[in-house]
Amino acid sequence: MNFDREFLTGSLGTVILALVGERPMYGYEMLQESQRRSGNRLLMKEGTLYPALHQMERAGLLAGEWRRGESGRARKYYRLTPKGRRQAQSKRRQWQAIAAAMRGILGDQHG
Amino acid sequence: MDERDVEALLTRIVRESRIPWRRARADLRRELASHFEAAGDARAALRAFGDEAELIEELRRVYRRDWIAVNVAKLLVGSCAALAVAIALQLLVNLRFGGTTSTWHLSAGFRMSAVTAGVMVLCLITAWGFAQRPFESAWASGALALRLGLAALALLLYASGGMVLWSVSLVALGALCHRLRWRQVRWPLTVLAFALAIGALHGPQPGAVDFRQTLLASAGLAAAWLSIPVVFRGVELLFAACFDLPQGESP
Repeated sequence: MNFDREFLTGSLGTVILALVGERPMYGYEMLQESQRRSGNRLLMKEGTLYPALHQMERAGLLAGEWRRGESGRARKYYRLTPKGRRQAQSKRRQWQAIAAAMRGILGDQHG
Repeated sequence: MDERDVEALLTRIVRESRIPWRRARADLRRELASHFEAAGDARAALRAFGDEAELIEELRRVYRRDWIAVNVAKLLVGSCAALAVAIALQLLVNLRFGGTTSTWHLSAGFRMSAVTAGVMVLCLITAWGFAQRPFESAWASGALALRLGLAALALLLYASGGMVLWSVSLVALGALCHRLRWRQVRWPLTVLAFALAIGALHGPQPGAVDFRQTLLASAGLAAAWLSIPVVFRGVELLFAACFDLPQGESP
């Protein structure tokens, strides 16, 4: 399914915070994981992930660290900072409230 | 499409993203390289990567504040250095020996020469800033405000409105001389035009015009003019060495 660009732009930060909130991940792993969990419905342009990661790292929401993964190759793993954790919780609550509101407006057949 | 395409893509992204910090650029390159490495199939990964221009624009947005800060610093350092060189040149030109005390001293015209050279330098830096391509109106307006601020400060501290008007007239005169097609005569003509203008300014005062000193003052102003691109090139190289910036990218 093709999503409107504004939906994806608005949700990218929430997706990153949710994924990294579970365990530290590197960029490509986040893409794979979001595709898998969305049943291949959420296919973002991969390059757009990295500016978002850098923005969030500079904002103090994420902390990046280079280390070797299971494959033995060095990857930049991102983890949540305390500020990022608070932001993740806030975003999750907002999304749940918006989703509930939209279901109410659009009806259950669309939700 | 192969790994060379990926390498070329990474080079373009890192170069064009206007990230002023060497470490952040190296980090981005390494991270993107590890992305393609993890993806395996370079051809498929390039297809899925998305629009290069869009990514570059997004990265520019992330690092915009830093980029502006570095370039404002470059402009400030360049402007201050050019002003210092211009004033040092006027010190040299106006240094005299002798008189009643038989010591080294500055001529009575030093203050005016220094202000004229200073305002001339600020005017020229502003003019060159606006001539830069690609022209960015937001950046140019900011730069103009900064330079006007510097000029106003110099004006408040050292000069009167008449001196500024005089300096701007000299800049216009010099710019006219530089429109000549024959490059070889541009500088001699500029020095001569400045000397004539200085002579005309002081002409009504009896005994005020000394041909040798007028020519020397004129050469001092022309030297200040000439020194600006040299100083800015030096500052450009200094910043390029400190931040490993791509040269000639700043406004």
